[in-house]
Amino acid sequence: MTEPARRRSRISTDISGGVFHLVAEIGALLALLVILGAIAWLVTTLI
Amino acid sequence: MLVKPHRDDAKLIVYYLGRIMWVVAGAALIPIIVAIVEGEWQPFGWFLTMSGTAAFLGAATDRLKPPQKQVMRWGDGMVVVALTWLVVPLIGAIPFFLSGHFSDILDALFESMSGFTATGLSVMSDIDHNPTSITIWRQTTQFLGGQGIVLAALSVFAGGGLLALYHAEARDERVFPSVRSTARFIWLVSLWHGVIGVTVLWLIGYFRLGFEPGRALLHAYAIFVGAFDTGGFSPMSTSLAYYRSFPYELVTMWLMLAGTLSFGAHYHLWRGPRNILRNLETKTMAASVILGTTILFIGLARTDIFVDTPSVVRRGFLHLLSAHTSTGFATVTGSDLASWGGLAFAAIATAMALGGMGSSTSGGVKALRVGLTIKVIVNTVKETLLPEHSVIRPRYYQNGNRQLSPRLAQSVLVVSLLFVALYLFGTVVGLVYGFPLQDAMFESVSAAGTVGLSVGVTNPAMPIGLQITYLLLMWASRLEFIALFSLAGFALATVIGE
Repeated sequence: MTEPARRRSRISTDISGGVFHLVAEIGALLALLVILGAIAWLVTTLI
Repeated sequence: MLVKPHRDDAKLIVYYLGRIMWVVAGAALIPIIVAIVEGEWQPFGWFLTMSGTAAFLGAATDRLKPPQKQVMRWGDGMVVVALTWLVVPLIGAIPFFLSGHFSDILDALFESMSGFTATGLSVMSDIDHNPTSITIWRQTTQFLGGQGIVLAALSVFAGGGLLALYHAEARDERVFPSVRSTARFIWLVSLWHGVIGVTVLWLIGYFRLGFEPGRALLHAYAIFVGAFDTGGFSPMSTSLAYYRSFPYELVTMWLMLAGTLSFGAHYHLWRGPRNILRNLETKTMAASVILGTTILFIGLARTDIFVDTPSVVRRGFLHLLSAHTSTGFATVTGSDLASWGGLAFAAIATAMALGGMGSSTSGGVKALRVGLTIKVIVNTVKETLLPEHSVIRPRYYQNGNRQLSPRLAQSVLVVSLLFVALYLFGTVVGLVYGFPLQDAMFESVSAAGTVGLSVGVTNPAMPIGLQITYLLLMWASRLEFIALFSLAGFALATVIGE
């Protein structure tokens, strides 16, 4: 692979990795909010 | 017998300190440019003074450049980093002191140390009416400190002994073969989050909160830096409560979560393999966040402060996450926080003490150490229950299967115990000054865990002794002790060594 092609491939990996990274972090936050929402509902109902 | 350090060692240490001064001089360009754009000519002079002082110190040490073959030893690297975290906050305090927002140099140094260690405790008066350039500098101290001043220097300068400096700054993870490429990846991750985070916060500020474009940008930058570098300084005295916006809080929560991820975890999310859910560190962090928040919810439900479930989740989770990631943002005042009751209070204090992930910008004991400490305890119990000659080989998963060796267990327990000792020391000093146990403990853990949540003990009128104690707690905690001990050893060897 030539140097410009290698660089393009690296940038493409970086962008797709960055997008996955973002989705994973926001997904984790939303999953936590759903789990904790259910726990909070249970706690406020029971206490 | 202690060996007196060689003169060349001292020259090398001073030379590297000088390199770092150039980074500070360069970083001062950010507030200088803002001061020019905003026409704040008095602050422009303050920042020029700071930049000039740092550049002078950098230039003065240039001639101490070591010969190419001289490589920095680990001990010397530790001393450089320990001194860096004293000298840089001192230089960074210059514009704060000149601004007139602090009654004395100690207050200005406290604010600067709080910023550089990404703590967020503040003794600044009249925060809401700061010149824009001072607000930018206050936020930028967190960025420099959170990213690692030494890391910044590593990205710019090459030379021997870089690895020693890297590890000395409490970073034990390298995701690339060279320290320089690791440093550059860390900057890439930060830049990526910066672009997305600032853009989204700007959009919310401009379209939903009705800020002017420039003001929306200032707040977006300030909150991004405060959250991602887990610093917690806010441009307004009321912290996140100023915005009264759930979307703003949600983006801040994402940035706090991203900021507390170790850079190893960032790397695995970015480049793969993406199996970080198997890591002991991730499991420990997730379990303690869920458990801590549940306890906090129970505490809040018992007090009837928030009547509906969404309010409990919004306020409770934000504060627990802010404490656990050692950020320090809040949407309630210190006195309101104190009124949340013992259980909620204990959940937040425990979260602050545990802290986020290692090799990140958060403070506290750190999730991996907590997970390993639990493993050590479980194995000790197992050993007492199993037949006498049974052999247990404890293992854990952290980016691969690893063995929990006795040496690793000892090092984990020592650092965890030192953190507990630090929390207790600050609490005792708070008690000596007459603060109630609950307040003294909360504030001490907040300072030593570099969190920044406050119940009001930290203020411009706080006792000087307590202020110095918190200042030292922030410093010791940021260095995670080893660099501190190296500095003490170096000083002792210089005086009594042979």
